[in-house]
Amino acid sequence: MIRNVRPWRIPLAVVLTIGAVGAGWAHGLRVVAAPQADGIAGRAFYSDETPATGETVLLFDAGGARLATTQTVDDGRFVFALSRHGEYLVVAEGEEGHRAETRVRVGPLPPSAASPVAALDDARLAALIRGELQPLREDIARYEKRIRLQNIVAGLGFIVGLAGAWVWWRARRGGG
Amino acid sequence: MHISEGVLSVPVLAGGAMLAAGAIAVGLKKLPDERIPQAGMLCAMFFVASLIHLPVGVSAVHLVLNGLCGVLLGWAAFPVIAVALLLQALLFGFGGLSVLGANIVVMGVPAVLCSCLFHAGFSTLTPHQAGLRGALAGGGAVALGIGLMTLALWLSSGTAYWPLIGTVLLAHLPVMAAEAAVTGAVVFLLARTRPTLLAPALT
Repeated sequence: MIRNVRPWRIPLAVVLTIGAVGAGWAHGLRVVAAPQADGIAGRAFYSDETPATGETVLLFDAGGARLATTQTVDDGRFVFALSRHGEYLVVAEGEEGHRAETRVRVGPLPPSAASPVAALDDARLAALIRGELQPLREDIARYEKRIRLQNIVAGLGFIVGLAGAWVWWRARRGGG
Repeated sequence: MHISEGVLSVPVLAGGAMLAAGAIAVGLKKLPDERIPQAGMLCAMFFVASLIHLPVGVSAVHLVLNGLCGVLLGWAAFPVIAVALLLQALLFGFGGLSVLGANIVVMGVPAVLCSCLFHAGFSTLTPHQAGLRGALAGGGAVALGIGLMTLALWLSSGTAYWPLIGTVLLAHLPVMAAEAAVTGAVVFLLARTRPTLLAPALT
């Protein structure tokens, strides 16, 4: 029975099966985070852009002290409540040695104006803008961390060039 | 299977880098000139294989192909894996530059071990036996790699990761099966058509 199968068809079949199962992007952990009105919100996801659920996310301050720990929910999202401005480090820790981190600067809200009513309005406006900008910030961060086709092609070209350089080097040494 | 930046301790990183450098030097010395194009091709395969991803339950795993590199290249698998991992770190952000040495050891040592096991008494093998051995080498290299990865994590941070090795091995069962299928099929094909490529000259 197996003799009727041409040998080259077997690896082809295997590759096609794997392709059918789902050829996508691999399994590196990524994290994006941005300041919000009352803290930091963000998302953890794998490099194939599936959400990383149930992963541990840690919040550190600029001095490296751990402030809080949380878990990502179903869509990979997490939230830290904060009351102070400053630089923060968000670290997502996956299993099997996966880890990703990002820095977030939570800027001060606008300085309070003359009247308390105006200050309140400014604060609300700032919170509103941050809320509106949140998806846009996430999209930009995700786009930056995406694996692009040109990177794959660049890597393959690099490997071809390196092999060629090694052959050239060996040939030169062998000839001289 | 790539360990990320900032997970391992400095002694483990340094040890991994030194081991990797030594093994790469040995591999380059043992790579005959006429096999350099083949090494380049396998390097390209290894580089791209990490992008083929298989969903497993809530998580996902990807092909490694270190067993295949080992079976075909022996010690020369080390420089091949090193170049592919360097490019994966630079272009895809898998692993990282500081953990490069450790990752090379985690994937390269199983490759060489599987290559030794594969070539023990090879000359008497039929293509089917060679394919079966190739499949075992492919699956075994992943299992060994997970063992080494867990060892590196344990050396860095104590016992925290040990209880996970069971679940990690279980999660990688599908990738072991896929690796075994791909490696076995490629070795079977080569044993039938180009048996000289499987000659144990490189180990």
